[in-house]
Amino acid sequence: MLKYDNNKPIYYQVIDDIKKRIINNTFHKNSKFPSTRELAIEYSINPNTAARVYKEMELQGLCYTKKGLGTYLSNEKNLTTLLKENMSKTLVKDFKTNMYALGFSEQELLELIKNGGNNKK
Amino acid sequence: MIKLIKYELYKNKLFLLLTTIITLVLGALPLPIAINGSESMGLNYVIPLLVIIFLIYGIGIGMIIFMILQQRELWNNNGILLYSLPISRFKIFASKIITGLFSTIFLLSITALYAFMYIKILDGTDFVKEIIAYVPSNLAISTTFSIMGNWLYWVMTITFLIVLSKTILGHNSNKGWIIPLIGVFLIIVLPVVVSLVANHSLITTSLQLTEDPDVQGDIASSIQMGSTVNFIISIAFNWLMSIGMFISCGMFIKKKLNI
Amino acid sequence: MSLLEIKNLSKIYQKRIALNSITLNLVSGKVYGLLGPNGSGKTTLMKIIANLMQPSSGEILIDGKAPSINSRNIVAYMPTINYLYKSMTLTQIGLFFSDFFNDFNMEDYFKLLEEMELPKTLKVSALSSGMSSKLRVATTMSRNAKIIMLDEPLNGIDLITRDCIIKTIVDNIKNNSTVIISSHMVEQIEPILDEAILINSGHIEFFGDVEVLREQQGLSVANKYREVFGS
Repeated sequence: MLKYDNNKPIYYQVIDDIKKRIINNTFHKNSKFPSTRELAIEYSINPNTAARVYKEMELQGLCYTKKGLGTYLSNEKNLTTLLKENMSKTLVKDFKTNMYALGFSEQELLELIKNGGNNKK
Repeated sequence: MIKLIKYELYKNKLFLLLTTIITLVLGALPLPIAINGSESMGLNYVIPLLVIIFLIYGIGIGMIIFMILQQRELWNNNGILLYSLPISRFKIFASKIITGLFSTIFLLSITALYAFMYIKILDGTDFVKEIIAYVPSNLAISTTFSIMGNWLYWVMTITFLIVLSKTILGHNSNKGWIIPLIGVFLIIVLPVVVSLVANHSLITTSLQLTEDPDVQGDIASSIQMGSTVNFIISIAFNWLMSIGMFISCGMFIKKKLNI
Repeated sequence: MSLLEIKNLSKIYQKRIALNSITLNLVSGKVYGLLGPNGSGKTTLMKIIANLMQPSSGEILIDGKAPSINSRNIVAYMPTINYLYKSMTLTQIGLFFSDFFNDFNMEDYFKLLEEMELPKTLKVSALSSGMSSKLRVATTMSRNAKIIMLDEPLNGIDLITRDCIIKTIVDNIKNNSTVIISSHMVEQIEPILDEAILINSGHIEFFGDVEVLREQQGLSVANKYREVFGS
């Protein structure tokens, strides 16, 4: 079960988790997503929030809805790659912001990453 | 409402079964004495009579207590369940009263059957003679009938309280003026009527137990005297009881239900 | 159209003001959280909606009509106490509800009992407090009522039971019904809320969409609660 940061919109967090699952190939191309109700139960959120998740994902081109049949994963080529790129951008941006706040320079950051976080001075 | 009564009976099935068995057993106890007689002629009659009177008192008082206790359910946790049903509170209270009434009538019928049986066995005339001779005060008989009348009165009083609380609750506020009117009727007029009727039927029934005019005369006069006293006492008592009950129960209901 | 319109509703007990001129409009299809400290008026408000109590003043309309004996047919209220008959079995409780409520669905009820691992032949008196809580939720959620109110459904129960109850609530939110949940457990309940109503001393301190709160103010309902009620 997902632990939410209640200070950020829940539907973003659910979308992030779904994106991770797409990258991990838990969803195959054109596979059917759970219904809004099933999604709500799975993530312990309310059905309106679940509906919002799919709506937002559809806007981002991640899925499409066939009326009466359900929501399906987009068969966009390189979807997984696109998602990886998209998600990693946010992660890197956050990382850099936090590290600069600690006083690290860009060079020092690259060193750190190479050494896997072990600072040998 | 029938559904409610069904559940009331179900909820009290153990109690009702128990009281039925007790009534059946107690009523049957004097049978050996009545049939076989005993050295002292009096005991033949007195013991069955006492048992019957005891049963009537017991059932009467017991059922009043039972009905009051039944209302308690409305002030504990189960009360919320009942109040949340789409049924008026009046019907809920009434179903409890009706269940109590049915049960009482049922038990009193058993008692009445025993009474008739004993009268039959003991040969009515002598039975009545012995009653007058041996029962310490024929006030006992008239009081018994008065108790029954009073009990009926109290039942109506409780019912009135319920209707009163319905008004306090504002469920039927546009009919509010009817309630105090009924209240006046119940408090003042009803005890008088009930006592009169109870005493009259007592006299009539007793007179039918014998055809001997002397005995009839005896019965009539002693009951008459006893019942006048009784009449006064019971009216005064009923009025005091009702006023007290209305005030205390009404306030209690208002407080408990937070209205 | 509002399912529940409340205008300047007040409730005064002998000396205390339990609700102080409350105005609220709730629509169908949403889950509302009624959150606030003890004695803030949550239960009082629910009881007035459920027609278990009369307001002192103000107006309240359920589907356009004042609360009445009839409105109890479309409102389901789950109180905080164990209010079911102890001598009845779970099946008999279901039959009782079916007898009096037209919208009670026996099949849903049995399905819920199974999901919550409550044996239907068990008597209510034999249930632990966690199981009693689950039973109360089961009976309430088996009603297809327009307004469903759960008063502190998560109180005094263990983590697993809590998760079970939250899943049950989410699974049984019917279309076009309004769910109002009052709870102290703000953090546990907030993921399933659409809107939060923060109430203190009979007064509404905040009423709004929770995702908007998160997006625009970066605040969880719990933190908003702290902001409003904190010292």
